[in-house]
Formats: sequence, structure tokens, C-alpha cells
Amino acid sequence: MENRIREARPHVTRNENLIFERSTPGKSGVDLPPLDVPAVAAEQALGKEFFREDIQGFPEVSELEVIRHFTRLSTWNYGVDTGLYPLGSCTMKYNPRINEVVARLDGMATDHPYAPEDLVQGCLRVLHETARCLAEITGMDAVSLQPAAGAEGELTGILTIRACLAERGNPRQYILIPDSAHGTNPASVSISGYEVRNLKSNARGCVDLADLERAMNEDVAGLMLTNPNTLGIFESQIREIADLVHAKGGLVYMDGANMNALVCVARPADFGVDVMHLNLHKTFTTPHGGGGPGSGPVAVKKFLEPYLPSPTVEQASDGTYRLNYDRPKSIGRVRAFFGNFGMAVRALAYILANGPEGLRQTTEDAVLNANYVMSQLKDLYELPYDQPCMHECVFSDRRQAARGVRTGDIAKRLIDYGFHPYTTSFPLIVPGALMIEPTESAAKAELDAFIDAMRAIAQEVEENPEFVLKAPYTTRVTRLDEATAARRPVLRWKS
Amino acid sequence: MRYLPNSAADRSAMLRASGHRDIAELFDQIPGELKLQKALNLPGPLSEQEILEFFQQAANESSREYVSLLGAGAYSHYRPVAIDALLSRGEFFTAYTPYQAEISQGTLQAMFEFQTLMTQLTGMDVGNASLYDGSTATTEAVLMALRITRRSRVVLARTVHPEYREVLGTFVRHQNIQLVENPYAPSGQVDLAQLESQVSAETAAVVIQSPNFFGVLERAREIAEIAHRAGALLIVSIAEPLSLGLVAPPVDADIVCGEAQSFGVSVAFGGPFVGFLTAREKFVRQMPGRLVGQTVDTEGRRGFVLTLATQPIAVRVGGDDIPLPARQGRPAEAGRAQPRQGALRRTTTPLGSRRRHALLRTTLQRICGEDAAEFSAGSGGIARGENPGRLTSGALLSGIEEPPPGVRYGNGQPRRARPHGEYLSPASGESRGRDSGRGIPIGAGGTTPIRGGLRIIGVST
Repeated sequence: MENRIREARPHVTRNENLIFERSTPGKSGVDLPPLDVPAVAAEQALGKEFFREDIQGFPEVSELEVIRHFTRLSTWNYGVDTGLYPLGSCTMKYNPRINEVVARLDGMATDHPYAPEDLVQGCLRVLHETARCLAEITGMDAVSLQPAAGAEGELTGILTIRACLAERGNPRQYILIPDSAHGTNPASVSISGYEVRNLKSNARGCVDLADLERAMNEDVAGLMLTNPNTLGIFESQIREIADLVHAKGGLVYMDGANMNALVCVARPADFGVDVMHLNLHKTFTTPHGGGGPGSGPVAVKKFLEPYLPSPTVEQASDGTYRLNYDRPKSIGRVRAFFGNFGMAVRALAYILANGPEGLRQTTEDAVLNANYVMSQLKDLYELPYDQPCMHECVFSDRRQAARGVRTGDIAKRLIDYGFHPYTTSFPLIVPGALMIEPTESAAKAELDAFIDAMRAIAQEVEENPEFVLKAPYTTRVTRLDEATAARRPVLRWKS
Repeated sequence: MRYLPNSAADRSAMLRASGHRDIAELFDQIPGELKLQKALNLPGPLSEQEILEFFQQAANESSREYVSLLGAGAYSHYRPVAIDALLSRGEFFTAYTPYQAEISQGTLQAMFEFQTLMTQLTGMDVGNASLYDGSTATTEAVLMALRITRRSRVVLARTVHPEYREVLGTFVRHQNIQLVENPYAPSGQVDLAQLESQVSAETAAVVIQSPNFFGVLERAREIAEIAHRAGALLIVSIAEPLSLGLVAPPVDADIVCGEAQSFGVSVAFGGPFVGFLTAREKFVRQMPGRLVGQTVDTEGRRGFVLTLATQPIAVRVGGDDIPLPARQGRPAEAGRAQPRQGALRRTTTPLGSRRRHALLRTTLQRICGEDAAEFSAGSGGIARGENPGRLTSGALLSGIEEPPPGVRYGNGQPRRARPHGEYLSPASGESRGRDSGRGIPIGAGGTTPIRGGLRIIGVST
């Protein structure tokens, strides 16, 4: 097997204990400047009741040890910087370095959210311009940057629908969600006070118009749709879908998680979407950061604008920017301050770097890469919906499962070949799904190596399935005992 | 485009290999009439130098040349440079959520250490990693308490950050939950007598902040007793967790949550920040967010995994009476004796921390008189006065009758709503604690009203 491994080679990484296990009393990683004012005895100032003697077990380490500790930990990770990261639906594209530099500028990273408006015109301009660009890209009329992540964006969007319908007289009871939806959709619906009704997909993996027609009535507040959907397929009947929902007084919500397939090619506003969210950490290159922070702006048509979270950033007639808190119909705040400003800075830097031509090329490359991978693997892996895809393609492990190897096992073996796994077992409408999204950041050469690895694994499954089941072999740790971790949780270090 | 790794030749080869005529064919699934027929009105493309210039220019229109004493849940602490050196490791910041544990041990171990550090600080048993920010962490704590107790009433102290309260209100509006607000006593703390009458067998939780929005420490033990007698939980939200370096943690609480921005995260115009939530061990299975657990691999080596899959957020709530924020006055230069101006001073060069402290001290002394405010620099100043509520990381002002020169009052003609201070200003109709004649703290809680809304903001280094 060894000679098939093309991308990965064993690498020396250091062992590293927990930071607490490095600690020695009396060491310090930071020196403070000397006091230039009279010292105050904390115990006296606070009183005995409130004074804290020490913090049990808190680590005491030097600066060098902190640097070594986290540098060593970092080498145990796989990132987009390390290699191909074809995690479907997550859009693991390159995070440009200039984004990080401008977000850390003195004046971008340092302004306080409550500083007077006159003194933070630069920050307000960045927020305003980012929102304007996102409105242009989606075709929508207004954008709120307040939601802290995609899931919160969904919730915000559904709350605006509710506020709008409530004002029209009846907030209604149900939200329709296709069975291919993201798992966060039902949660957002539920906290908005709605109940979920599922829609079945048709043979093409898209919304079944007949099923929608049956389900859509005056008790339904709206439809929550991902487009392209989680199979990477564009809902080509989207206009008819939107018309059906609108005809019964409902609204159309689009989960914009897959907007990277549409930027500068088509605009949701033009195909009937009323409200949607975007994920700046997917389409607009803000880093995933091991799970956050994200940013989930919400874009709406004009009639929903009054319901967006408060405050909004507005430009006055004299060109200056102002925060508008006077929004009586607003759903309220979904996060303190103005959302993840630092992520807006990065997203705007990305849009500026590309311009409209670059963004279009980016979309085309993402779609081409996904179709290329699909075409090179579909003879070995079952393709349940055999048609050109958009930004990602979804296979099933049906053939491999017959040999006892499931999508999760193939994913683990892929690690040995030097690649981050694809998304496993999602979307749920494909049993044993392998969801592959190369993004535009994958060069052909790297895709070829990935394709070779996937083909080699398919062969291993035929020849020696047991071998694949024990993968990975090249990582610092082998498969971890998740059952015990959940049964007897150890969630903190103790001395 | 410099971010794209494929050449024109690569693209042609891939098109050929996948059996497609041209790129346009791949987009055939989008009906023609839905395709964009025009170029979008977007800026760019810009070179790297031009992008830098663009943001440099925006950064010039900032408050960076002012001494800012603003606090209120966002704190401008000095950030050791090692932080950005480590954060800039691509293995950390370009990785996804660590679902593939074998190649994510770096993230997982760091998260496990974060969980441990937060529990050490808060005195709780278990902690998560992590939540969006303090406002959403506080909301999640309330949702968690509702799941645990299966009750439907929440008593919320008015001394909790107003924006945290607003966010909570948004999240629970469409659930069958009743939010009850506890006013504050003249000391700037939770009104215990009122609290006794507000807590009942329907109460899921009492939510307080400590140090609270006024920078005053709450009597968590007494509040916990009141809550626990009725079978309710005590949630303590902490906006300035650096206080936990000197202040005893609220160990009588059931959930301690809040904002960890003070621990090395830039103030960044309000975000991104980092929420935290810690709790007693018995509630671990109701904790929201991601949890990292320690386990072993097939060879018995220590390793870490995401564990205890999150409870879906599924709650119901009722009306909230959270008022819209009132306004804050205009800023200006404190150094010149002009009324209605803010505690900000323009300087021609950036100030070093010593000059900042000296400036703050003289400003406070001018405002309060020599003896009224003690102030100390360091990791958050400590000051005290005669107020029964103990203060942290701030100063205490006593008995001011008239606006001193150079101090802005926030309840002037409301012009545009601003998010803080409003709950105390006479204009808001608030009664308790307003004209107590007692000292009112400024500091860790951020903006603090004095007799109608003086706003000087906590200092930190």
C-alpha cells in the first residue's frame, strides 16, 4: 500500500503535554509595566468577602513555553494551508493573508463599539460598504451584518418573516423544509416559534412541485430552501417554487450556504427569494478558525427591511455614516454591538481583491473543479443523482458498504493519503453520503492526486477491506474512543 | 486572479476530461432568464497594495488617537504580541471544526485547555468551547436553565448589560417564557427584597451580572440562596472576566457564563468576541455549544474528541419588556472646559499607558475632587469609595450635583438612540437608584450615569 501514498509522508512532530502539566510556580509569560500611581491593596479594596487568594491549578509558564506549546499543537492540525480540504458544504477555500493584515490594523482592530459615531467613520464605512456589496451580489435591497454565524443568520431571517407576517395579521404556523436541508434549519424554525413540515425531494434531488403544492397553504409562513441544494444541484424550478409559495401569502427564505456557486452568475433576488443569509466564512474567505468566529449576514427585499436587527448603518445626505437605532418594527438585537465586524473587514478585502470579474472566475472554477472530480470518480463510486453539479458533488458508499466499508471509513483512509476527508453521511437523503467540495482553491495537480487517492482506496476496499477499516495509520493518534468520551465525560484537566 | 491556482490550460484540460464543451455548459441547469446579464456594480479588482491603502485610509478615520475610557462589555487591554504570532499559524486559523479528531488534535487540546482555564477562573466544574459572545452566552445559559428546570419564568437583573438583555429578549420572544426584571437597590446591586417576591416555584433562573453593568459586585451567595430555596438556578454573567483574577468567583451559582474578549481578543468595533459558559457537573448534558472530552486511541494514548452532541436549541418564550435603548450624548474633548462633551481627549501622538493613567487620574480628580477617587493602574485599576457595593476595576464617584466642566451628560436632548447608560437616566423613567445621593461607580461595567448620565468609561491597560 505504501507506494500508493502520494501526498502524505511521516513527519516529526513533538509530543506536548497539557499547558497545566508544564507549569512551575513563579514563572510568568507577561511582564507588566511598573505602576506609576500609588498601589492599592486589592484585599483591602475588595474586602475579604470578595477577595480571591489564588486560582487553583492555573498554569505558570514563560513566554517561550507558551510559543512552543501552541506551535507544537498547531502541527497536529490539518488546515487549508496544509492541503486540499474537500469538506462538502463547508467551502474550505483559501484565506487570503491580506485579510488578516487589514483586520489587525490599528484603527480597524482597536475602535470601541461605543465610541462616538464621528470618531469611527472608518469602521462604519467598512460595514456600510460590505453590506452594499453583499446586497449587490444577492440582488437584495438591505443587509444586516449583525448575526454572528450562519445559524444565527437563519434564525434572524425567519424572525423577520415572522415579524412581517405578524404585522400583516397572522404570523402563521409552519415553515416548509426540504428533506435535503442543513440540520440547523429546523432549529432556527423552532426557536422562531414555528413548526417544521418536511418536503420530499423528487428523482432529481430537487423540490417536488406537486408535494410543495399540497403542503403550501395559508397556515404556512414560508419555505426554507438551500439553492443550490445540498446535493450541489440548482433548483431549476425555483421560479415556480417561489410563485407557489407567494401565491398563498408565504415568503421564501434561502439558506445561502452555497452562494459560492452563484456569485456573479445569478442572484437570489431575481429568482424570487425574499430573505436569505450568507456565510462570510464560506463564500467570502473569512477563516473557519477551528470552528469560529463566523459571520452570517442577512439580506432582504425592501419590504422586510424594517424588521432587520437594530441598529443599522446608514449614510446621511452629507456622506457621513450613522447608526440608526430608531427601528420600531425591528426584531431586536441578535448579538451585542454590531456583529463580527472583523469578519466584515476580511470579506470586503476579498471582494476588493477580486472585483466582479474575479468573483465570476472564482465561481466558475469552483463549479469546474467539482464537476472534474465527479467525472473522474463516478465509475468507482455510486453517483445517486447523475447530472452536472454546481460547487459540490455527492456520492454514495453503496458499493463499498457491500464490502463492509462505510463512508466514514473511506474518509479516515483518505487522511493517510494526505487529504482532509470530505463530508461524511450528509445530506441525509443519500445513504452513506460522500460529499465533496474541492472549491476553486484546488489546483488541477492537487485534484489529480486526490482522485488517485480515492481510486486507490476503492481498490483497497475490494482487495482488503479490513485494512481500510483500521485507518488512519499515519496520524499522531489512531481512532479515538468516542463512546467512552461520551459515557464518562472528562471535560477538564485536574491536578 | 492571484488566489486561483488553475491556469487556462488546466481549465481546458479539466473541461475536456469531464466531457464538457465549455464552462457555460456547466451552468445550463440555471434557467437562462435567471442568469445575470450584466456586470455587478462592485469595487475592484485591487492589488494587495491598494487593499492595504483602502483599509489604512478607513483606519485613519478612527478613534485611535483618542484616549478611550470606554468599557461596557468591550475592553481595550494590551494584547501580548505572542497571541497574534500563534493565531497566525495557518494550521489553527485555516482549519475547520475538529470533527476529524485524528488530524485536529491541536485544536482539540487547545479547546480542552480553554475549558479547564475557564472552570478554574469561574469555580465551576465543567466548561464549553465555545459560544459567539457574552450576549449569546447569557441567552444560551437561560435556555439551558429552562431545559433543566422545565419551568417558564426568568428573573433578570436590570444591572445586566442592556444589550445582553435585548438579545435574550429577541431569542425568547416566541417561546412561552416570562421575563421579569429585577430593579436595583441604591447600592447599584440587585434589590434582594424585590427578588424574594419575584422568585417563585415557576422560576427557572435568576440572571445577574457580576461585576454588574455599574462595575459593582453582586452578592451572589445571598442571591443564590433566594433562587435555590425556590428550586431555581442562579446564572452569573460576567462581561469582564479579568475581574476573576482578583475577585472570588461566584461558586454558589449554577451557571457562570459571559464574555472572554478581555483574554487577548481585540476590541475590533465589537466583534468577533468569544463567549464562555461553565456550569456544575450535574448539568453537563444540557450544556450548549461544543464540548471537548479526553479519551484514548486504540493504542491507549491520550487524545481529545468533540463529545456530548449539543442539545438542539428548542425553546419557547413570551413577551419581553426590554426597552429600546435611549441615547448617548455627543463626544468631544474633555480637556477643554466645554459642557456636554465626552471623556475623550484628542492627542497629537498616541499615548503611552503611563500618560493614559496620568491623564485619567487628573481627569477624575478634576471631576471628583482630590479625595473622591482613588485610582490605580495595572491590570485594571482598583478604586473604592463609600458605596456599600464593592467595586472592581473602576472608580467611585461621590455626590456630584452639577456637571463638572468637560463632562458629558447623556440625558440631553435625545437625538439618536445609543446602546448604553439608558436604563439609569432620569429620562428613561427609571426610579430606583437614580437620586440616591450615593456614589456611583464607574469602571468595569462601562458607562455609568451620575445623576443623569455621566459617562466615563472604565480604564484598562
